[in-house]
Parts: sequence; structure tokens; C-alpha cells
Amino acid sequence: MVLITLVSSDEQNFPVERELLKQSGTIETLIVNMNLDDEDTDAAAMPIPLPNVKGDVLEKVIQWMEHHKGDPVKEGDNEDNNAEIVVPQWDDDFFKPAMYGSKHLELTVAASYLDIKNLLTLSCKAISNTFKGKTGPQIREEWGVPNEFTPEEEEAIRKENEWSE
Amino acid sequence: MESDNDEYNEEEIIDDEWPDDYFDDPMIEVNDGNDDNIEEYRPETPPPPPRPPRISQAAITDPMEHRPITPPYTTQATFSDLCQHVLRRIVESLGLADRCRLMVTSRALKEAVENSRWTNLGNGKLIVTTFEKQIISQGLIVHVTFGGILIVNSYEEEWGQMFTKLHRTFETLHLQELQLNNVSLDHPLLQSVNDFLDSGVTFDRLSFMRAKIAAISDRQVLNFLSFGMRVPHVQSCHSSSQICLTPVNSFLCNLKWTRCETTLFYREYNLMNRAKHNVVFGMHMGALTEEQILSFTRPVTLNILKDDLSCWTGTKEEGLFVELVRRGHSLIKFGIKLITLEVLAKIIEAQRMSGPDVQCCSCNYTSYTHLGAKIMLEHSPIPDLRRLFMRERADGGPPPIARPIHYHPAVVAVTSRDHPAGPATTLEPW
Repeated sequence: MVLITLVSSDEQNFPVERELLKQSGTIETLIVNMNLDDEDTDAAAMPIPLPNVKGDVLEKVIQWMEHHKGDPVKEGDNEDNNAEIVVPQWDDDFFKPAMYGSKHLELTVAASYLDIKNLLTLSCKAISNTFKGKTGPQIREEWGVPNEFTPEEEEAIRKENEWSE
Repeated sequence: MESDNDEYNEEEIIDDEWPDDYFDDPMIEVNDGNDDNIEEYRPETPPPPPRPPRISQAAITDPMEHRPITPPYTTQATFSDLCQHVLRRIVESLGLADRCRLMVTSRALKEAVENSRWTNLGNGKLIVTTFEKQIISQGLIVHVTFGGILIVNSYEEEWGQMFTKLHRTFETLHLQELQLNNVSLDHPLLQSVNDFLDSGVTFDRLSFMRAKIAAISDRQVLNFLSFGMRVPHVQSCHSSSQICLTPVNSFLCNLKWTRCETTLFYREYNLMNRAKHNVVFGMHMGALTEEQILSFTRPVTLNILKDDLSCWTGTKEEGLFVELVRRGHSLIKFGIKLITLEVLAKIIEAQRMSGPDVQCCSCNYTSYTHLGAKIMLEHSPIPDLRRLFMRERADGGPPPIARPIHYHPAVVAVTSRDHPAGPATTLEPW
């Protein structure tokens, strides 16, 4: 079993199975291009730095990849119709502890950066599920988002979308 | 070797050279300058502007929520940390009302909503519906789900905004059906609907159910008509792919109708011209002018409704009717009340040549069905028609060859499926 070490931005090392990393387009491209999975070369021992992913987030990403090991990996840029996607129960439970917090957003950023399409899809869907049927202020409160609009701007947006309130 | 610092004595310089009351002496101020004119322009010289404070006054007096945002530096991720394509993925699984509500959440999400698309709704599966007016006001709009029809049951002012939003949002929308029920004919409200229709949305089916027109003034009617949107009376569409365009309710006087005729139909005309090939247009004969009908850029299927048929009995209409069929338009349904045998023969001949199926009318009218070259005559009150068709049947010659006209794919498919070896010139027995 080939282990490849990922190094987070806070310099934590995570040895990960080579097989798992096929879910990440970014890492997979790096491994293939640099022959990092070839045990006969010196490159095999080279850790992969991920300066945009913190250790705790990377840990969650690896946990997700371990659960989804063997799942078919999407190829190409075709985006699914998110409206028709249902978040499976395990993934729902996986996202829940970090829901409404920056950790969930960091996980989404990491999924995008690492090009893990399934994780990105499910994460986006889980976020959008939290928006349904809620007003702007409710969403701001739940997600801890500061109000970025002036009262005039907010009033203008509200007026434009008054019918939906 | 001594450094410069060793010679420096700060206290000595300040205390010896600059006594505390030095600047309090007015004479020193006057005599200190070498320029004698200094007092002449001193009054006109504005004082130097005060140094701007390091913190803006707004930051001191206004609470945080009233200020334009400059997000404080934080190590925690926010929505603005997500790329736009990720935000769009989040937004695009939401319905219309949710997207609109999301716009007041943050700038990043607002931008994502504005850039969001409905590409996956473009296959005719959209429902915008609501239960009743009070539900709209409670914000419980069941707005966009997948699998059906756009239905507006209560067309109130709020829906005007909704259509404006739809107009802006759905650039490539195709709806299975747009159904406007209980439309209040109010001039400013209809503008948004018209904008929506003009935005390029296409329909398999567009119908307008009973409109509330009782309390409308003549002026409103004229304004309304000038938008090119016509108000039907009860119109039900049974076809799965039909656009129902019916004229203004008959109680509106014909004079107004005529006066508005030049601008009345451009919207519907445009709708028809960009409709899909298998869309059927239902209309009254008086709904479109001869020039408009003949100027369609490609063959369409017309569903001619049976009332108001008198205008089709004159010589000009006969020629138009035949010309329509000759150009490849399909007439799936039409009714004729007063028509000469010769005209009917021309129509049948033209229909046979153009290949589409022509069906029906009620028993009170002349009625026939033409499938390829297979003609069925039903309940004809005109005895001479028997002779017409008997003569045709007696001829027994080879079927006429279809004209080289661009037919509907659907019609061609039906014809070729039903008659793979070519149509047979046979008639059903009486």
C-alpha cells in the first residue's frame, strides 16, 4: 500500500493511501505528473504541501475520502443539477457538526481547491439546504455573516424582491 | 573616538535655547520674520486644514451595521472566500424566492444570485405556483419545483415584480406551460408580463384563463391592447402542446379592436415565430391579419377555433386559406360554415399536397379528416361533397406527390409512419 504524505498549511503531516487521493483532481494530477506514486524513485518520499488547507480541515477531507473510497470519480467540468441532488444520510451527519460555521465553508473551499467534485457537490448542496425558506437576516444570523449593506442598499434590494418576502 | 551620540544632550538644548514662555511673547512672533509684508496677507491666508483623523468620523459615530462594509480581517472563512462558481452552485439549486431572499445576505451571495443561471430548468419543467394571496403575503410561496407548469393563480401586484424577476433571470427558459389565471387587466402589471414574454421565453403551451375584465375602462382596454396582449374569455387547451391565442372578449366593441389592430399582434406573432416546430397555435380567424399569417417565416400548425368564421367565407379568405396550406402550414382543426364546394375541393387538394393531417370540426359543420391521402368525411351536411369524394375515389389514380415544403418534423414522421410505402388514394366507406 503506497502512502503519500500531505502537509497542511500549519505543517501537519497526513499520510494518506494513494488510492484515496484519486478523488482529488488536484493531487492526482500532481502525483501523476511528478511520479510520486512510483516507489522506485526518490520522489515517492516527497510530501505534498497544501498551503491553502489547514490541518483540521484536511483531516475532515481525508475522513470524507476514506468513507467514499471506491466511489466513482466524476470527470470533466459538467456540473450536476444541484437541485436534484439528495445529500446522503452519512454526509448529512458529516456536515452537521460544522454546519453554519466557517469550518463548513473552509471544507467547501478545500474541496474546490483540491478538486474533489463529489465533496464539493454535497457540501454546496448542504449549504443551500440551509438557505431554503429563510430570510436574509435569518441566514446572516445562522451563519454569522455581518451585514455588508448600507440601510439604503438593503432597502433597495428588499424592495426589488419584496414579493418573495 | 567619540561618536556623535556622545555629544548629544537633549535637555541642554531644549532648556537653554527654547524657554517655556518663548512663544507667548507677541513681539517675538512679529519680529521673528524677515518679510515685512507678512501681516498684509496673514488675514487672507486660510489656516491650514486640520490633519484628517486616522479614524473616520463615520467609524466613530455610526454603528457597525450602518457603515459600508469593510470586512474585518479574520482567519475564519466567510462566503466571500468561496469562488463565484462555488457560490453559484450553492445558489443554483435554490428556487426563485429563495434566491431573491438570499440577495440581502451578503455581497458575494448577491453577486452569485445575479450571475446564477437556470440551465437545468430549460427543459420545460418548472412550476411557479402559489396557493392563495394570503400565502404570498406570508412569504410561503411554493415557487419553483421541477416537473411541471408555471402557474400563476392570483395575479396581483407582487406577481408583477415576480415577472420582472423572471424576465431578468430566465434568459433561456423554456416552459411547458405558462398559465395565467384570473388576470387583472391593469396596465402597469401587464407590462412586466409582456417583458417576460418578450425576453425570449418559449412555451409548449401558453394559455390565459378567464380574465377579470368587467371593471375595466375603455382607456385601460386600449392601453392593454396596445401592449399586444389579448385577453381571452374562457379558453381551455386540451392539446399537450398548444398556445392559445384568442381575441378580446366579444363584448369589447369591434371598433376598438379595429383601431388597435396595427399594433395588436406583434407579440403573439413573435411568439409564434420562435415557437418550437411541434407547437400548435390556437386562434380565431379574426386574430391575425392576412399579412401577418402569410408572413410567418416557417410553417406553423394552426388550430382554428370555430367561432367568428364568417370572415373566412369571402373570396379573399378562400385564397388565403389555400395559400396558407400551400405554404406548408398545417391546419389541424378548422371549422367552416359557409363554404363553397369548389373552395373545399381546393383546400382538400392543397392539404393532400402539403401532407399534414387535417381533422375535425363539430357535426354542425363540414368536417373531414385527412391523414396523408386517406380522407374521411364525417357528418357532412352538404350532399354534393359525396360526389366530390366519390369522384376522387373513382379516379383511383396514383397519389399526388408531396410538395417540397419544409414540414413539421412531427407531421412528416406521422405521415411516413402511417404510410411507409406512400399514401394510398382510398376512402373510408360511408
